[in-house]
Amino acid sequence: MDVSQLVREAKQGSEAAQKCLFDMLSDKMMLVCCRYLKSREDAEEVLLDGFYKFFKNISSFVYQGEAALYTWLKRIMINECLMLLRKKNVFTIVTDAEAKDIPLEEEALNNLSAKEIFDLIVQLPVGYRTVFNLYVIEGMDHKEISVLMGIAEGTSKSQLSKAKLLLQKKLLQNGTGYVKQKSR
Amino acid sequence: MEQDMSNRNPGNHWKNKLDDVGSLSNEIVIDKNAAWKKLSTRLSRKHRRIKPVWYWAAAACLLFAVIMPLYIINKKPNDLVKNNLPEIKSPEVTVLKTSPSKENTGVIIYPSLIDKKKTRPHALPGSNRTNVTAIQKKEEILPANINDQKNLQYETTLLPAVINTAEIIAAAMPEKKKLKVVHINELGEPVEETPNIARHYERHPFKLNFINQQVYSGSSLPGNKTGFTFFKITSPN
Repeated sequence: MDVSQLVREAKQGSEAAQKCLFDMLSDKMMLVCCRYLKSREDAEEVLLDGFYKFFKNISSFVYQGEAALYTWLKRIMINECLMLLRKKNVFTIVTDAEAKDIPLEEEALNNLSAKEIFDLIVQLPVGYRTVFNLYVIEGMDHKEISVLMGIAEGTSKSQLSKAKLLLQKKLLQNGTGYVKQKSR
Repeated sequence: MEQDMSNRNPGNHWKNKLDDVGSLSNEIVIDKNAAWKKLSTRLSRKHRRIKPVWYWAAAACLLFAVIMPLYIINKKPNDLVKNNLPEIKSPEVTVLKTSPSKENTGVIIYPSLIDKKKTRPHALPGSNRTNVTAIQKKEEILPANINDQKNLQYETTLLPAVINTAEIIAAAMPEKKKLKVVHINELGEPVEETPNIARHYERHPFKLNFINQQVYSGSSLPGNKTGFTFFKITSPN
């Protein structure tokens, strides 16, 4: 069935259409949630909360293509994740270190698989991970991140540079391992 | 700018990779049916959301109904007791009515002490109210020294704080006699009384001696009811 038709029917309150949309988008959204939240239970909870809000406010959504629908739902999920993290008070980040711009090694990145990237991100501490996700993956700037997380802009910058440093270390370790695997 | 782009480029690369659900299917362990059931129950629950408003309103009313009587009871327990008790006739008035001529002067009646009796009427079973309720205190009330705590305490225990003077005065005053109302026609014929200074039988003869030695005697005439008759008895010439 066409996505636009599903959205239209979901707007009218069709449970079948809502279920179809849920089945279609839940995997992707679960991945997004898992990138922000370490706990699988939390991710599932946020997924349900996000879909609940999505179906509740779907009447105000104007369908402009599948990508727009995906982006809108993803934004809802990210907001829900950040709300949960704020609720758990994990954003009490205190830092006065100057933010250094550290470029990531593209060669190493290109060699990494999706699973390796996912594992790398999940291993980061919560503050680093959130800022890294928002800045690098979602493409937000530090101003937006500071507003969303309720932290200073400088804090966001420093968290990102620290996250990158930590990732460099891990990439180097993984890169050696990768090279070793290839040489065999 | 280039450096910034270099930072963003790996992000885009990672983003593309991370969006690939097929390669990360092992990371997503989710029971879609169970999750959908939970979600559908939550979505269907939206119709019941009106209920909590009524629920809380009812709860608030109930709480109000429970708390208000408790509050009133705690606030004015004595008032309620007073209201529930049967009304007792003012005792000091009954005493003074029955015996107004007795030594009422110097009698001080303490209404607060009488009130105590009112609140505990069963404390004196079978007693005659007229004999009991009036309290006479003939002790002199001396001015108390405020600094003397013992005196002060004694006074406060013996004497009530407020003496209602209006009640005392009303009690001490003898009851006013009610005059019988009679119609003017019932009074009968008015009795005419002579405007004489003295009546005839009350008149006595008298003599007047003047300085020029003239003597006059005066006597009432038997026929004349209104005047006297003077006679010149002697003259100096």
